[in-house]
Amino acid sequence: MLAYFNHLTPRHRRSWALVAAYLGFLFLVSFIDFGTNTAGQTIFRGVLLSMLIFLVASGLSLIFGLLDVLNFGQGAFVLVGAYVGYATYQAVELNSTLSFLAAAGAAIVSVGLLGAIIEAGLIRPLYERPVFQIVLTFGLAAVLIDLVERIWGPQPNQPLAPPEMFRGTFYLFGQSLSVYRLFIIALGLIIMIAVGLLLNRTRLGIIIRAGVQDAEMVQALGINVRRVFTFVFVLGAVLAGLAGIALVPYQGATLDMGNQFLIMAIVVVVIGGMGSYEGTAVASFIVGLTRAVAEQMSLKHFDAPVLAETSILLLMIAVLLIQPSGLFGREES
Amino acid sequence: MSQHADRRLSRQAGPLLRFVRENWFYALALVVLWRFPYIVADLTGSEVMPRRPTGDSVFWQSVMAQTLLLACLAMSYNLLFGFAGIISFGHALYFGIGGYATFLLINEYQPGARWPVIIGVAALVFALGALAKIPWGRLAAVAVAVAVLLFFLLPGGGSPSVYQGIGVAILVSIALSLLSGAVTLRLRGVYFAMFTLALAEVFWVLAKSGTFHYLTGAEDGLPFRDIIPDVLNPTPTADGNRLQMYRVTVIFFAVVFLAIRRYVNSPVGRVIISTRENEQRARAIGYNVFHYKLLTMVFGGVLATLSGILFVLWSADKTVNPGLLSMNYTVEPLLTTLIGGLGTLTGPVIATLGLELGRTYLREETFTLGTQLFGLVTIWQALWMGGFALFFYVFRRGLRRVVTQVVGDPRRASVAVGALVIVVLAIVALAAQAIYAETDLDATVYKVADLWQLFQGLMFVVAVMLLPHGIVGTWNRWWYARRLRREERAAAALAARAAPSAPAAPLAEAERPGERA
Repeated sequence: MLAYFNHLTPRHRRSWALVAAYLGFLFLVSFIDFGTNTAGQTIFRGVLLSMLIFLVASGLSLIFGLLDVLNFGQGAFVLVGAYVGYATYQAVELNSTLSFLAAAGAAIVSVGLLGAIIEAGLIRPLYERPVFQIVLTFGLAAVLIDLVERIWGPQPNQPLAPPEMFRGTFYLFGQSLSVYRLFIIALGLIIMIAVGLLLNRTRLGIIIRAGVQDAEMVQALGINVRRVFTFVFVLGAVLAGLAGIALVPYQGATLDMGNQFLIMAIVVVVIGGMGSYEGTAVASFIVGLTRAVAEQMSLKHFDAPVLAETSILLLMIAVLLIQPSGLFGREES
Repeated sequence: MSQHADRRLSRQAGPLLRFVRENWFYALALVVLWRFPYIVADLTGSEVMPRRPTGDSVFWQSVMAQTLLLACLAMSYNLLFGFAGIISFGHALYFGIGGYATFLLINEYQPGARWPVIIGVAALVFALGALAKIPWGRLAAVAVAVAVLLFFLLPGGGSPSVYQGIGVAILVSIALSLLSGAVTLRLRGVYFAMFTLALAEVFWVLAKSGTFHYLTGAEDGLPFRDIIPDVLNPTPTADGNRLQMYRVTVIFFAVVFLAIRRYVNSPVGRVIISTRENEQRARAIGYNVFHYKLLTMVFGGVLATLSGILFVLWSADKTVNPGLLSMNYTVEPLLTTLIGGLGTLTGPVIATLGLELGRTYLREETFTLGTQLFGLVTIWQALWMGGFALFFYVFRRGLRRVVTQVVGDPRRASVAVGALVIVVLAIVALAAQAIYAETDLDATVYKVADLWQLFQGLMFVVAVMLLPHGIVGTWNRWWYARRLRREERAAAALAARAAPSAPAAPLAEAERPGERA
């Protein structure tokens, strides 16, 4: 960890400073504006949201970095994960922890299979026509969302009770919260560290990082890059599906949730820099916290929490105007 | 490409003949569209302008008009994606924003706001232009022009008319295009795609949120019914309101088509196409690619906005609702553009007409898994056979390799593969038949209209994977390749006749009739 900070380029050091300053500013504003308790709750909510966004955005960023495909289907994967998980969670009648595990397994397997089929069957033949890859993922996302609506109906599904293990509550900032929220945060952190270790400490991770730099060269070194591509695509899809199933006991399953997370993940990727893992992780916190604070603020001052939607858009505009390559991305040519 | 070949082939003919040759199809299509209500009336025995507002002709007028407007949307999308190579995933924003802008101006405008708005907008234009380092003289001219325009669009007293609302809607659309273009058009294409998607999504969420119910009517939307002028009111009446509006729509469609054709064939359009083909080279030649892209963006956005407003007037409840801003109206033109043919003029129109009219025509049709197709196989069998055929297609190379190894002779192998596939498909069909005998396939009845979007999605995947030039693009390519082949053969025959003793040498590259122009 320390080694990482010792070997930063000046630009990255500046980016870290900028991030720290921005987050500090956000904390300061929220504490001054809302008072300690509400600010604490808001920030807690923001961290929770950041974790979910991170699950979706890391896949987007990894896939873009390695395959050069911007996967607009990432939101649809969240949706499929959530709905499959929801259905399984309701259908399997074991003790609730086991059925939640079954639901998670079903969600992961179905989304992973979907990702494998899409990458191997549809995206792979299109590497000569990159524009069509983007269009294909976008169109497929629309088709998948439509399919989900056709199967499970358009009405939103209320959140289900979390599994027995996480049903307790705890007291934080003058409010009692479900332990399940802590579980989501823990899950996000574990995945963040696990994928980070995968990328930095394993042979596969080295191949992936090398592929991000120059996939052709890796191929020339005798490594089957196409197989790694499929693995990364499936990994990204599975992470999105995981976000979907984690959402089921928290927000339920609704049709617009996929696109909502896709938009936030896109903003994260733009801010963090395409293909940069630490950028994605940091930008997830920026986006999640900004959104939570903006929501609270617009609720307090304008009585209109939807205005928070515009906050991340403004953030995106600002980053695109000031530094289009994002905080940690490589410079655009 | 097609345009060039057309010109080349008709160079020998006189100007009038050439005009007829290039345009007869479009003229014929226009006549058919114009007479469409009467054609339907004759076919179904209904009235064009009935006393009671029902009947097939009236219904199909509305269907056709809405389809034409969707075709306009698809054409404007194609202008961006197909001709300029700009991938926008937020085209629905331009489609939906027109109705909202028109309506909000009429509902919320106070005459006292006239001068503050004019001065404010002009100042904003000036400030932004100064930031973008536009030369002062040009900037002042633009700011004054905007101010004068606003002076006519915002009335001094009373409430604004619909036409003034439409004018403001166009301004809003231009502003949005400029915003998203200015932020992202200088970057790689994916940034533009992401940004437009996010922008459209934010507007959609704002429009449907209950918080702004007093402004936008949230999910209920804003009813246009009371403010439509008679010319634009498609309510069927005996004196022919609907027929009149249908004609307005057809004229609008024709104008949009001609405008896009003109734009694409103009010098600007040539630059746009060259940008799509090779942006760096276009820049190296000295074109300011960014400006051309921005101009195209604005043009396409305005066309989409206008068709959106007319679309609202045609919709059954005449209401501006958040649905118009939803992703459907981005996906739909994208699908039709790809299916019809990227960068072709007629492709999006043909695909939209086929899909929309087909959907309406088959809206009441139902089928079950046991329904016979052409009296040969049931849908159940066809599905199984299709699945296996797909499997064979995906693994066609491996299959061929294995069969070649078994048979030995590669020429006999292709026959063997064909025979194998046919036999396996027949066995599959019989097996499916056997399963059918035990289960009741007619138990669930499906509606065609319900499955239409899935069908569209399937078409989309097929188009992307197998027909990258779309229906029209593939047809054009095949057609012109055939013509060139024929000309070449004719030229070779001519050369052979001129010098019978010498063997017919292939013509030099520059002499080939097909390669000129």
